[in-house]
Amino acid sequence: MFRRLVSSPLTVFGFLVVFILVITALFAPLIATHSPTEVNIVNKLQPPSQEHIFGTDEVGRDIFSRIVHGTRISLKIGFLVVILSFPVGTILGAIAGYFGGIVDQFIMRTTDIFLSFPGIILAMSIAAALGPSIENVLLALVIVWWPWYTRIVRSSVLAIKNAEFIESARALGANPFRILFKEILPNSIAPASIQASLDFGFVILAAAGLSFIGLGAQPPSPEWGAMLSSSREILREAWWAATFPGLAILFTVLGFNLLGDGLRDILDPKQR
Amino acid sequence: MPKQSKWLKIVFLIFMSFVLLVGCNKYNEETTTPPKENEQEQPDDDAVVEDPGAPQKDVFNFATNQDIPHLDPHGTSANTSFRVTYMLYDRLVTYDGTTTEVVPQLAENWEISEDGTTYTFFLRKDAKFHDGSPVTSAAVEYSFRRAIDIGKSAAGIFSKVIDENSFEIVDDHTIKIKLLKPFGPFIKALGTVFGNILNPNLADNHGEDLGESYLADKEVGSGPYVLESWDRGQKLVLKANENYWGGTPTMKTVNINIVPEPSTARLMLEKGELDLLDDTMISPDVIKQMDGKNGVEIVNAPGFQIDYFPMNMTQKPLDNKLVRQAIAHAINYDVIIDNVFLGNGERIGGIVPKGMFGYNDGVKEYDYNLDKAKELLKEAGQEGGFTVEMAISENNEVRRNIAVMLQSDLAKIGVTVDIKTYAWPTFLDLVTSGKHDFGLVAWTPDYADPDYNLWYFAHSSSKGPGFNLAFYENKRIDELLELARKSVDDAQRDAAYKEIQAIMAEDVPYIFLAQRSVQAAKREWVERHEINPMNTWYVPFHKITKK
Amino acid sequence: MGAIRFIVKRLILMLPILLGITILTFFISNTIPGDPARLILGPKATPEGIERLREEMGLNDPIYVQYGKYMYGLVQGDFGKSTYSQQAVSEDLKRYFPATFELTLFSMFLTVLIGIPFGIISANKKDKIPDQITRFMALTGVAMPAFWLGIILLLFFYLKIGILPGGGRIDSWVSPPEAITGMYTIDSLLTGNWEALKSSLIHLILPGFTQAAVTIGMITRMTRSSMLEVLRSDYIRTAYAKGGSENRVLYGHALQNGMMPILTLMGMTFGHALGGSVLVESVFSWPGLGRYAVNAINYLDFPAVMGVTILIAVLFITVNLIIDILYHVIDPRLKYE
Repeated sequence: MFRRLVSSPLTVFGFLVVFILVITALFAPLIATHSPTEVNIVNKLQPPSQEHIFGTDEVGRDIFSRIVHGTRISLKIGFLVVILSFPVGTILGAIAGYFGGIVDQFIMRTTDIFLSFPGIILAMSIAAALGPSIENVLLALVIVWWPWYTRIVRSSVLAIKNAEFIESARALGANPFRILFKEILPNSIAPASIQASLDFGFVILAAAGLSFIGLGAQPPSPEWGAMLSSSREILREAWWAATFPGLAILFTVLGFNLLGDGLRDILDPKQR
Repeated sequence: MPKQSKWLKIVFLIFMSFVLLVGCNKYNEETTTPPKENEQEQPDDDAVVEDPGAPQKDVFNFATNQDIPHLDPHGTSANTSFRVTYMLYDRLVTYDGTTTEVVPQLAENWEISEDGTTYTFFLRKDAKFHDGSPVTSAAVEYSFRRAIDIGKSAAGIFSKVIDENSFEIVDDHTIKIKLLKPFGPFIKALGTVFGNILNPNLADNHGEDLGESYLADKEVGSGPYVLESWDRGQKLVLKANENYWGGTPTMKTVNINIVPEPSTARLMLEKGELDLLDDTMISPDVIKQMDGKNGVEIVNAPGFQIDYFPMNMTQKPLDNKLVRQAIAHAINYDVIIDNVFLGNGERIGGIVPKGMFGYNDGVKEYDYNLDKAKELLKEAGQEGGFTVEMAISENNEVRRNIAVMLQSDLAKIGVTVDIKTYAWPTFLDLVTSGKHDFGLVAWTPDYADPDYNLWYFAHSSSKGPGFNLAFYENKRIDELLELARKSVDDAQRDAAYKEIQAIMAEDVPYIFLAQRSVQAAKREWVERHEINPMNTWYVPFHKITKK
Repeated sequence: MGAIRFIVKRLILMLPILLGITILTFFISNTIPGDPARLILGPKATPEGIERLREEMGLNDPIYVQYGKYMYGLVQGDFGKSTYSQQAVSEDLKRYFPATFELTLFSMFLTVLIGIPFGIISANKKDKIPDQITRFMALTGVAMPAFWLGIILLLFFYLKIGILPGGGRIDSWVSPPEAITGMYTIDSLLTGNWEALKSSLIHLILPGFTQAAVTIGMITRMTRSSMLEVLRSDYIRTAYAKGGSENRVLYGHALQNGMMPILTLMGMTFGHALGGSVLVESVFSWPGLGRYAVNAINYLDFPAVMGVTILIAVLFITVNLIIDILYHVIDPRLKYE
């Protein structure tokens, strides 16, 4: 397994990026050179220097320290959205696939409603109704995300539900829920979990997009999307203020994607 | 290595070169020679090489980041629509250039009776609507009656002072308007967008809603421009009115482009594709960066905009005057003015701006004094500090930076500020229903009279929806406001307004951060562009010329 | 016959979904605090004026009555009148949708043109240098915040080298073609207006690429994994054994057999893209549905919110139906279920 991993430089790269992100998030206060929220406006928009290695933003905060602390926010969102939407989607998908019929119809039409519902309208309504905060962005993302897992799991369940070992369990008169959760789910969850590892990156990207339009993280929180947004107009002159948060998002999403792809190549038995 | 997918590469290359060719071809052509419409014009004397798309001398390009909803002058309260309707319609009087006093427009002159209730307007005889029919007294009556009947934004101003019986048509070009009660600022209100005069033949298209749907994308005005075309969400085009009584504007075409993203708009200005951008869409930081580079020039003009925030006096502990005074002492005003507004503003002690009638220059301004602030908090029994929410509307750079500055300032006296960004409707609902603590806003009067500012900010009947967002109530102020509104004696009004400002400075229902100056970024070739201190949304396209 | 029954059944199933969507949208958007009447009238309005307008707009009815009234109009094909623009919502949608549709078609065109070959190269050269390069490029596209990419592209192609326009659908000195479909490129083709065609095509390039950046990455990845699976199968070996050229095998047999998951994903992304991307539309001043939707929420323009949601949902469902039908075109052995 390890040899397969190192055989692909991209996977190694992805793994390293994610590793660095996790370390950064864990030890953010130790790594950051300044307070992420301390305002020093007289020192605004300073280019990178020894004191501020990524420069300062429009109210004079240290961009490097903000990015370091922002790691925590981004990872937290990615983790929570996936961890919350994954079980919901998976269980519903398994039930729909296994029982079929009216249950299937009901669950799948419900997912269709959520899938075809424009995400931006949902997110904006939630933010407007419940107040803007990173938690509500999280909620909106969970609502948008779970149906994807339902779809994936349902199709994998359909593929194996008539397999021999399931038939034999059924013949033995096992409780259907027992069969579903003990036999079917463990054997059909792989594609969805690989998707989940990729989704870490996409969730972070989506949350950054929402913060960018002002719905998510509230000032002075060092969220990358918000940082990118607040410095975009002066990208030409103060390139550092927008470039570093942009790169942070880029590398994070890239890292999770490469790692997820690598894991799929390794774990998916069909692709050996 | 096998020659894999050769054909695909070829297809791809062909496609790419086609795309790029189209692009290069087109844009090189356009950037080296002026666009076709310009060919009839005299050749450019100073063909500037680095200026792409040399300016067309009779076409003006402007951009706004907020969409234009509709063009009924009585039906909309959207500022972006005002900018258009100011050009499509004339008013009895108007604000010209940089003055904040009205000057004649459709009315050549007027008389006001002794008691201040009867206004007689003498209309100019050469003014014509865009369909060629003359502007008459009947049109004036029709317009004001429609404004009130339609019951929307314009009615808010006029319905208190005139009704359907207020008009007396003396002859085709003379009309008397009788007010229900004396209202000093009446003539000033006539110069606002709500006083636009409409062609009475609109009645043919009234439908069920007094022609509101009809006027949504049409106009029936007499102004210097006519509406040429409007691609919603993209571009609105104005064409010069060749028969305008005030002379045909030099800019034959005005393109108002909808450019939602300020970072894109600034690039278009620097590239010369836009001629003018105002500070309704770009921040002081960007304006400063563009100054003097790439043929962009910055204009600064005095302004009547005041940036402030109300402190909701129905919320604890903001109901305590000492707490409010402490907050006033804890803000480092100068740092905000110097570094967020980049010096384009000055301290102000009240809501009546410097330069306006009734301004009290002796009003108390709170200095930045943390010890004093802490002392006041202690006196109020709040030395342990407390938490308040600061609501801000929209995703506006300047607002957000101010909020962050205030947050950091107030933290120094133990007051924790949570910033919340709301969409405009939610924000409006929050602050007008009194569920807020602080709300960061800016205010520009529609006409230069202290009644306008003070009535909204301080009269107890204006609480909440009336825009008294501090929910401030003071008997003496109510009395003074009512007195001054009835009075036609300027000295008496002046004294009343000055006293109100002094009382408010002591009570501190609002924190006034600064009186901002107005800024705009324009191409060097733009001339005769005037900025009115009060009327950010009045851009006199008809006066502009290009070098 | 199976096909027709299948389509009819799917169309009938669309109704409960649409009903669910209207309920969800109506009630969610009505929980947003704020008074539409106040917004229309502005800060200077009188309380009586506001009350009168609320009555006129039916805002004083209980929410389920408002919903009932809306649905009553909707089944008669009436989307209501936008409170923001005073136009019929259907008129507004007719204006904004073609712009989004045109941009989406163009970006999907780029996606297929770039994403599928990338995926095939990547699968064919698995774990070799070309695989690493194509994957890295494709994934960088996915990982770039669209907005940031857009501005960087503008800075370079518009401001620095000046070969591409700075936004909008057409140059200001070119008048848009006569409206037939509302899509400038198609309309100018139909009317033979070459100047407009040229101008509208080059205006598509930057927003098209920015929007395609994400989908290219997704399609590349899906093509790669789907092709990997197919390439291992026996019939590919047979095809090679029979002496088929590499290109023929790859782009013929293999692609055809690996097409299904790619199609599914394309359907989903296409469906989503039709909703318009606010960020891309904002950077490139593109008057599309995304901006319309955001604007509608920002001004509590409920009829517009409802209209745009229903339109987007119908499009999404329709696209997926078409994809399902395409399955059967590609693989006639499949049964309609």
